[in-house]
Amino acid sequence: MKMQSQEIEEYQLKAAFLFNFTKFISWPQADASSKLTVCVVSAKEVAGALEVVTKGKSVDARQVVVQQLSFPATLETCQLLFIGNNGKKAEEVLMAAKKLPIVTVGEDEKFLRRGGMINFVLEEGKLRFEINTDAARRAGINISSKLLNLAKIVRDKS
Amino acid sequence: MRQKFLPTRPITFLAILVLLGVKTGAQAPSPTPDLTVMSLEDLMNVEVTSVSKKEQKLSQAAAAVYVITQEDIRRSGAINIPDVLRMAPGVDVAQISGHLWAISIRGFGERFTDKVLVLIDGRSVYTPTNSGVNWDQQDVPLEDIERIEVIRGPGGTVWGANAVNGVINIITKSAKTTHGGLITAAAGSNGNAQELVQYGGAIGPKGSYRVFGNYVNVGNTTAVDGTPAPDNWHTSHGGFRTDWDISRRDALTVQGDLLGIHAGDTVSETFFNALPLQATLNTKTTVGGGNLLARWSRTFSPNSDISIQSYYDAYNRYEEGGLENRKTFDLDFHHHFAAGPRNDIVWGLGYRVTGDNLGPEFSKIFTPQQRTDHLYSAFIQDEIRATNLLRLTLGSKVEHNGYTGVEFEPSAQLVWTPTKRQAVWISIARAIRQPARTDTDIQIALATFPVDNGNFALVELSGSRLRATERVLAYQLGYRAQVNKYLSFDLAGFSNHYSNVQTTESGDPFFSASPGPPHLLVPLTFEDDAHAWTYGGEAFAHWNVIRRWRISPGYAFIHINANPDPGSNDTMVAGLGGVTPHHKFEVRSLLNLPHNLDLDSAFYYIGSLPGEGLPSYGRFDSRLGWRAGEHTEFSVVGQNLLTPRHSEDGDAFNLSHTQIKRSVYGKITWRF
Repeated sequence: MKMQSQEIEEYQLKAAFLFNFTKFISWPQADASSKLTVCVVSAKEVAGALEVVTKGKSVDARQVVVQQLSFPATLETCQLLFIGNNGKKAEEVLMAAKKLPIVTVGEDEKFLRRGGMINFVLEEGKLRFEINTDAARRAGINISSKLLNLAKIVRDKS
Repeated sequence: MRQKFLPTRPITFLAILVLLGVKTGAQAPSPTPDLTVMSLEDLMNVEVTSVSKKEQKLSQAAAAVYVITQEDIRRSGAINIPDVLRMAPGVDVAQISGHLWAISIRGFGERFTDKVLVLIDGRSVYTPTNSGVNWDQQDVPLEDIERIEVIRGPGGTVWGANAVNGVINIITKSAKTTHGGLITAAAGSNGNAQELVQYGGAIGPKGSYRVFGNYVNVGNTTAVDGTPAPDNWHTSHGGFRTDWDISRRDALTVQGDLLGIHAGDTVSETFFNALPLQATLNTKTTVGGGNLLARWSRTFSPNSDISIQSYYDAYNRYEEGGLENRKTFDLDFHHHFAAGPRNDIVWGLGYRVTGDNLGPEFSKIFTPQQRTDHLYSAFIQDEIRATNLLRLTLGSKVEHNGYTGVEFEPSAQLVWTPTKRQAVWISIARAIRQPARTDTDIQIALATFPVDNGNFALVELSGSRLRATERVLAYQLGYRAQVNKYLSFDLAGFSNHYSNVQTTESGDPFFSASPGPPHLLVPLTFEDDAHAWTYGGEAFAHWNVIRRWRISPGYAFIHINANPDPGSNDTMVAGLGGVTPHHKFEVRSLLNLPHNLDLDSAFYYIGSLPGEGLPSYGRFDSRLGWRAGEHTEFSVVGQNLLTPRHSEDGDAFNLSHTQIKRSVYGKITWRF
């Protein structure tokens, strides 16, 4: 057990996780010249922290770019979409994103039930995440077993 | 072969350096560890210090709640739970002697404060022998406490009887979070010493365990006249906890303890069955006890879960020449579900059986000596979301106890959250205190004195079988605000109306021949013919002055009016106002210094106790901690630094109070 001396905010930790997720996910039809765009809706602090985390970084030789969106917006350019709890349009954004090959990440207990792919959960002060592998398969997203092993796996209710 | 010396995972290597606090070239450690270079596995180990969901729920609670976190405990320098509880506004902690404390919420403090329910992981430690808590028996290793929730105000609806003025809920950490080894050793002035050895790990893929052994030795306090009191004591305590994630929905916890205490006291005794004799004795107190608890819960959805809990608790307490033996078995069921979009319902059933054997002590006899009581309870509570900003909670508990039959404890609360960061709440609740063995079945030889003709008189205090239940009707009002990221504050006010408060009625003296020799008996009886009205309030705040420095001020005041009912000849109840401090003020400061140093201090001002003849006093504790590396922490703590010694409480019935000394200790904590 380590002793932690500094204060870490939840939004900073989420941004660090989001950046790390991109390293263990492969998207259909990706090419090296394109950018890897991480979109953020209704989560200003996470977007700010993400810009710090991803500054000058690339994953699989693709430059990582952060975009803050407000709904309605075009989601086609997004590879990963983080939907925060601070907005009222979370459900609509998720409905639109489900039709595209986008990795949707949320922070609401109903997120996976509504069709989201990855959801953050706070457990005893530590950040965990759950992944709906059926949703990922439907969107053609391939998630590395390294990431799946650290997650709580959730399947669609039949 | 260049690749041999390249770290294969450069990111993890750097992350380890960061976590060790090693300077990686920069001049001073940066304010936040560099999350950008941490691997996924490392990120999973980071602890978020911002408000958690549970704390968010607490910020909308319709009650006066104060949460003592593990960090508050670690940085208070406290070595036992009573010292930890001092920081909660509205809680009065008065140390009576070496191993005895009077801890109360909102008044009526005494050794066996009968109006506060105390739970450890759901197990009640309130003893029905004398309606109080034996604090020396509650030796939870402080490093294993996740948090302590202090709820001021009646908790009858959810928690049941005896939560008249409040509930102290001590919650230990899940075994899932205490993997690895932990050794602490502390030694200080006055012969105080403490050693804790603990180890935890995984059991298969789904379980975790921890096992610990703790030894505490506390040196003597000082008698009022300056001589050492014979009350040094030591505790040996071992225990375990296991937590299992049996499935995605099911969790199981099993935990248990074994404890032994040796202590000393100075008591004044009057003897029945020998020559009329009063003496002041140094006595020995020995305690042996243990408990086992299991809790199973199944989560159906975020809004729906059930849990079943059962525990067995047994102890022997040899004190004042007599042996008290008590065994308790408890079974509890809770079901939480949402009924429609606006109703969140919790209901439950409970059964508890407790049997005792109270052997005669020097001056006390219990009739009957053995007694078994059954307690049946049921409760329901509905939280109604009237509008998005307004929630109404209605509920009641109904219990059947072996003394007074059926009792109801209803409550109603209203919470209004005009913005996400503010809450206003009001509450009305009724709670009861069930009589204890000392209220109904006890006979105490209080004093003897000579009368004419060479005879003597014996003043004898008895309990009364036909005791009515003491009850409170409490009105509360509170406001809570998170002003910004750095400042939050909490205000609460209350007005409590108590009926059937305990009195001591004197009867006409008469001659008695038994037990011989013949003597004049002056009877006093515990009755319930008084009422009381208390009002007051608490205020506290948490302020991050700068990122590294947090100040937590707190203030509580209370006014107590207690009076006997017409027809009562009690003369003691009216003095109840003088045994609780009217004002209590505190300031705690937590300061993170560079080089991994913590400087933490607490100052308390406790108002006077005119009824005990005790003046007000100030208390200052300070702690300097040094996190020397990933595994080790050193700390030096000074307690009660302001005066060489001071009194906190008066004598407890026949037990002499002593004075608490200034003390210092050093501690090493090693985790591996």
